[in-house]
Amino acid sequence: MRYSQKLLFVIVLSAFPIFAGAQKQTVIDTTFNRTTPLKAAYLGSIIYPGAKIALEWPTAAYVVTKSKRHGVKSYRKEKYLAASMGMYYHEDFHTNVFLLAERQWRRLRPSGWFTEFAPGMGISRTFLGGTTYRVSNAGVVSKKPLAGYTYALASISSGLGYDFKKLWSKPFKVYSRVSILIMVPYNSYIYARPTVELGIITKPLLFKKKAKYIP
Amino acid sequence: MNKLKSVFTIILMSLLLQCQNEKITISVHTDDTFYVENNGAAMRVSVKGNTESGKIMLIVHGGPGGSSFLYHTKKIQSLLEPCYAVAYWDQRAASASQGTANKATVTLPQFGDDLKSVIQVLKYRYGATTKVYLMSHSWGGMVATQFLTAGTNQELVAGWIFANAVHDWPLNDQNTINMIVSRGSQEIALGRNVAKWQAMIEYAQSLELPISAKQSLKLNDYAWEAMELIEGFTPLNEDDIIEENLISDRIPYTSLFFNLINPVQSHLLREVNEKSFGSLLIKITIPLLVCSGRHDFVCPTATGLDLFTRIGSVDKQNLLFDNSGHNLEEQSEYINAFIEFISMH
Repeated sequence: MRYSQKLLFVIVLSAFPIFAGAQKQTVIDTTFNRTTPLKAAYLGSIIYPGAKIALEWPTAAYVVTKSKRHGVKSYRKEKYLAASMGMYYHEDFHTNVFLLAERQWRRLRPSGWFTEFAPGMGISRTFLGGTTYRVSNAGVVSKKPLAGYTYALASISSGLGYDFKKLWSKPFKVYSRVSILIMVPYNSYIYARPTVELGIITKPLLFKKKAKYIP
Repeated sequence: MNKLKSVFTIILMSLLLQCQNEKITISVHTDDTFYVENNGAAMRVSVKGNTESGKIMLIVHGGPGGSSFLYHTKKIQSLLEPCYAVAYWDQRAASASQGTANKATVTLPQFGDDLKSVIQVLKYRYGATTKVYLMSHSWGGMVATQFLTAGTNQELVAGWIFANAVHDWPLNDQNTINMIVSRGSQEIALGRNVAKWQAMIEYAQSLELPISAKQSLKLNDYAWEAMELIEGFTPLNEDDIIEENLISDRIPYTSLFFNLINPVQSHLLREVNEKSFGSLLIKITIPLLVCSGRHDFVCPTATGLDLFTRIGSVDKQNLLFDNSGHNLEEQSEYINAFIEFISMH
């Protein structure tokens, strides 16, 4: 591409928000509540059940305002670090217990709906779905307890949820997420497993006892 | 907090131990799954059917990288499993098998050793007097021949079913070439799919033996394509079997997929590309049943016939299935032949 063509391309691209009639302003939210929320979820692959619990550490929040021809639109962007422990049980195949660290990006609409995206890394330990035998060179058969393998784990997730605090003043969010868990080295290659998560996010405050009123 | 951790750990461990509890069923409706760990691979074995019979047909599946789930068809469930037990074994780095198998351990001699371990575990679980019959299909023929020609291994099995299988890779390639040329010429003479057959014949005739692993793979692709072109014959679709049993057999579909495309499979194909057991077949003396499909271009009837004539066994039978290709399409006829062979031995 010639220089003049490149320049024209950059100008057109940078002017796109103007043509679209939108201007974007991002402000750091200093009032952001840094309490650590707790997540608990059902995690499964269609018929194979599992569970997941996680803690989220908020790291930053922004309020984004977009001016458009038809008015002003705003939403919140939140960033978290999350640590989770999960497991699923696939009968006859394996039970997988894993620890995962995730970086989460969440976008919250004023209506209470939010979307999120989270890549993660961790470690997985599988337990084979049946008694495991070994045969010695002398032909003696023995059982191996808790047989299974340890794999490095990577995950990528995308989800949708609703914050009940927005309109209902309830201190929890519900969410659903689709993830792909990738384990390596599985037979010196990879194993990828899609999972679905349905869960609740709440602040530990919810579990605190209410103070008694003493007149 | 520490107490809570300990309770949690104890509950988790007991749950996991519960999942790996030994379950050995001697019944007409056995449905047991266990694993055999050998040199870095944990191989799934599922035993279904009548273990009271004292006879088990052990499936040595095709591939490499195939799956034993593909053999759990409705016909095998309704015809064979009520009479005898069937052991569905997933080979290393294939199907639902897990672990750390790698290039160094995905070798044909290792597959032979794995098969020996699986038979030893079957006899440990279901009784030392249990009779085991190998049913090798396609690539499984190489694995079974490797096992049977080593040491005194053949003493562990009561019979061998060689169904649309291979024991000599270069010979099988030659037989596929010959079949493409001869059947292709007949089809062209009849004016059927002329352009497609011509392309296949041209490729087959351009090959000079010994062919490379890459050429062998392409020839294999043409062999599958050729079966699709035979008029009045519909090859058995393996995807239909998976789809049918996905939930009931608890098939880990993505494990099947990733093991199938695992690069160790191509490494293995390169290793066996010039492998022939022809001269060793005389060592095998156990009862043998050879089954071939007339439309099988992948493992042509000539391959089965070569094994039949060169093997040391005296008790042997060769059957040709007129309207079958590679995937045992005449299921009832094949299975009835298996039942008859097992009942007689």
